[in-house]
Formats: sequence, C-alpha cells, structure tokens
Amino acid sequence: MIRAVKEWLLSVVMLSFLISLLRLLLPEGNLRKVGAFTGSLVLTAAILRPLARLEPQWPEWDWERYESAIAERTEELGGRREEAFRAEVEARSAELVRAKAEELGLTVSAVVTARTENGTPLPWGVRLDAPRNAALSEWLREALNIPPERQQWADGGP
Amino acid sequence: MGRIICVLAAALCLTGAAGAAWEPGAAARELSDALPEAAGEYLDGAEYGASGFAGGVARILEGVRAKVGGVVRRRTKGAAAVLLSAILCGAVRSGCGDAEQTSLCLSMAGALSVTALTAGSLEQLIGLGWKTIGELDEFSKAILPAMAAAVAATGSVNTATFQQVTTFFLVETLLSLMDGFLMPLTYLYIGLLTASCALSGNFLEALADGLKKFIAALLTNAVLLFTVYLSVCRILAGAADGMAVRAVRTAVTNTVPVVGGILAQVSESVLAGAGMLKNSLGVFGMLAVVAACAYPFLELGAQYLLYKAVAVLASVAGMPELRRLIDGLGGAFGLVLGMTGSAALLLFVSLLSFLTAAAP
Repeated sequence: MIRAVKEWLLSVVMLSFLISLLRLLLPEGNLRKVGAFTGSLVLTAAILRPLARLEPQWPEWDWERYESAIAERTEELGGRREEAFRAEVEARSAELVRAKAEELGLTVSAVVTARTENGTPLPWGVRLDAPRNAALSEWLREALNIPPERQQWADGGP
Repeated sequence: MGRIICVLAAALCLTGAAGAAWEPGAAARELSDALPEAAGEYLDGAEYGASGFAGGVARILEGVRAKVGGVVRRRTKGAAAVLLSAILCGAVRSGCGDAEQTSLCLSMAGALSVTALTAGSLEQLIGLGWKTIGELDEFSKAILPAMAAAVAATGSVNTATFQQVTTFFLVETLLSLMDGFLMPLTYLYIGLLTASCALSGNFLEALADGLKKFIAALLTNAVLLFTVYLSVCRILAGAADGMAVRAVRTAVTNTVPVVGGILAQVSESVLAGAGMLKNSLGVFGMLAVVAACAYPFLELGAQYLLYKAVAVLASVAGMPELRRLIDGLGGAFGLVLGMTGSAALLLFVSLLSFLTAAAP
C-alpha cells in the first residue's frame, strides 16, 4: 500500500510541477487562463484517481457473530466459574466432615461431591473410608443435607 | 522477559480458587508472549500489585527519558533539512524579487523538496504507528480473556463476557475503519496538501483542510461512540449479574445453616482470589498499553511538534506557502498519533472498566 501511495504522491507532485511550468511558459492572457483551468482539471483528476479505485471498506458489525460469541463466552465463563466454585465447596465440605469425625473420635477421610442447583453448588453425596457411624451419618444428614442413601461408607452400607 | 513471566505467574498463583480452571504458568507465558516488544523492555522487573501502577509508570517514564535525546536529535535533523529548504527558497525569493513567476517556481521547488525530505519519515512513522496498533490488537486478544475470567470468577459473568466480546469487536471495527478508510484518507490529505502548495491559490487547500477535519472528527466520534457503547453494555450486563446473584442468595438462605456457611466462605475466598487476579492483570495490562505507546508517541509527538515549529519558522523565512505545507504535514503525523492513541485508549478504557467492575 505504501508503495502505491508513494507512486501516487510522486505522480501528483510531478504533475503539479508540469502544470505550474506550463503556466509559466504560456503567454499572459486568455491562453494562460485556459491552460491553468485545464491543468487544474487534469490535476484534480490525478488526485482523485485513487478514489475511483479505492473501495472504502466500511467496517461491518456482524451482529449474528457478536451475539453467538457472547452466548458462547457466557457459557464458557459461567461453566468455568461454576466448576471452580463447586471444587471449593467440595473441598471445604470434606474438611468439615473430617473435623466433625475427629470431634466424634473417628479418623475418617471423606470425599464430598457437590451438585449445582439453581446456580448454587450444594453438597450432594459423600464417600468415607470408615465403617458406618450413626452419629456422623445423622450429622451429615442434618448439617450438610446429605441423606443416608447418598452416604457411601467403607463397609458398603448406607 | 523471564522476570515478567515469573512475576506474573506468582501473581496468578496467589489467586487460589479463581484460577482453579486456569494454569497460571501457561497463562503468564501466553500474556508475556503477546506483550508488545517495546513494553517488554520497559516492564522487565516491574511489580503488578495494586500499588505497582505508579512504580510501573515511573519505570516507563525513566525508559522514555533515556530515549528522548536520541529521538529529538534524529527528528531535529530531518526538521532542520526541511527548514533549510524553506530558508533557501525564502532567500532566493528575497533576492529575485516577488514576481509571480518566481513565486510559483519557488513554491513548486519548495513543495517538492519538503515532500521529498518528509517522505522517509512519513513512511517510517506511519509504519511505527501501524505496528503499534497491530501489537495492541494482539495483546488485547491475550489480556482480555484473562481479565474476563478473573471478573467472571467474582460473579459478574455477563459483565465479563460483554466487556471482552464487545471490546474485541470494537477494536476489530476500529482497525478496519483505520485500515480501509482513515489511512487512505490521510495519504490523500498529504497529496492534496502537496498539490495545493505547488499550485498556490487554488481550492485544493480548502479541500485538504476539510479532509483533515473530517478524519479527526470521524476518529474522535468513533472512539466516543465505542466508549459509550462499552459503558452501556457494562451497565446492562451488571444489572443482569445482580439479578442472577440475588437468585443465588435466595437459594443459599433457603439451605441448612452449615451449608450456607460453607457457601459464604467459598464466596469470600473466590472473591478475594479473583479480586487479586483482576487487579494484578489490570495493572499489568494498563502498564503494557502505556509502555507499548510510549516510544511511538515520543517519535510521532516529537515529529509533530518539530514540524509545527518549522512551519512557523518557514513563515518567518518568507515562504507562507511552505508554512501551510509543513504545518499540514505535521498535522498528518498528528493524525497517525491520534489513530495509535485511539486504539490504545479503547483498550485502556476496557481494562479500566474490568478493573472497576464491582462484584454484584
């Protein structure tokens, strides 16, 4: 593009030079006036020449692409946030279960799974590596809202 | 550059849950790779904490100050050559009298020499401005998704999405407006100026003036319109986020107290982590934009001011036609400066909006 512009600039400058020279050489009077007028027309045509070839590229706003990009990105970011939030809820819930088990005199390792309901991740199920304990099971039901049927104990029974 | 990656990775690692689905090292590398060349030079070793912005700006200014001498010397050489040709034309005119033919010859010779002397700088500086705009575009593609992820982690998913996607589209639109329309018009403006100087006393000068005003108005209004659109999008998306969060809060209050407590703790922790990430990235992004523009602004600004000064001196030297041409060429450098500044401003405003986006 720069090269084309340079060529165009050069041609305009050279033409200006030639037209001015012509004006100087022509005798004063009507002939000079006609020459100057013709020269101006030729120069104007030369200046505006690129405009005829120029295809102005007005920016186009593709609404469909814009809207689909927004929908895609909302889903992606929402999903990513939900995933991070759920992981944190699972980790903190498991920590709470271990603390409660210790309070009850048990040594338990727990893995809590959460499920998103109405945009909020809530503890859903738990897997514990210890035999069933009635007190802890009751606490899980009351405190974390995890009913016995979603509690997996090491001895297999809910 | 290595230190930039380390500092960024450390900032991203500190974000805890907010960065859970995002590998900090890879993200830092990606950001650092997209960093404009000039920005990397100034930002090596800078801190990106909340208080790091002032320090970063000071570092950039220090770097720029070290280059001022060289740039001014280089640009002054070119401007001095232009001034010399104007003085020579003025001297010949005063020696040969003020006849019409002599004036016309001198105008042509002056216009030719000034344009020829400026052509190299014009090509170099337009190239520099365009390169900077391209680099800012590339950088926006790396920083905006990262910022959007951080803002979304605070709960403002709609705000983050609208902000990111709209900025992408606006930058793309602004670039195509510059490339397909404003740049060709700037070249046309330079051509008209030269021709009007060579053929003094014609309508081309008025046409060139009008064209310059049109380019400046189009650029200013486009940036203004884009900024307003971005702000409106942010307000509307913020309202949608607020409604979504209210629905979640209602759901939380309906759950058992222990679960509610866990959710509140997690919310706070995610919010704190995401807030830190957002601030670090925002400071880094804004510093990068400032650093990327510092050198091109210095070059273009120096050229613009020198040409304006030379234009005044050319008038004193007795060549008012050349004053108009040199002043106009300075204006062309100003237009390129304006285009580079517009792209930077749009990205800067977008980053600032991300930074000020409050958790709903």
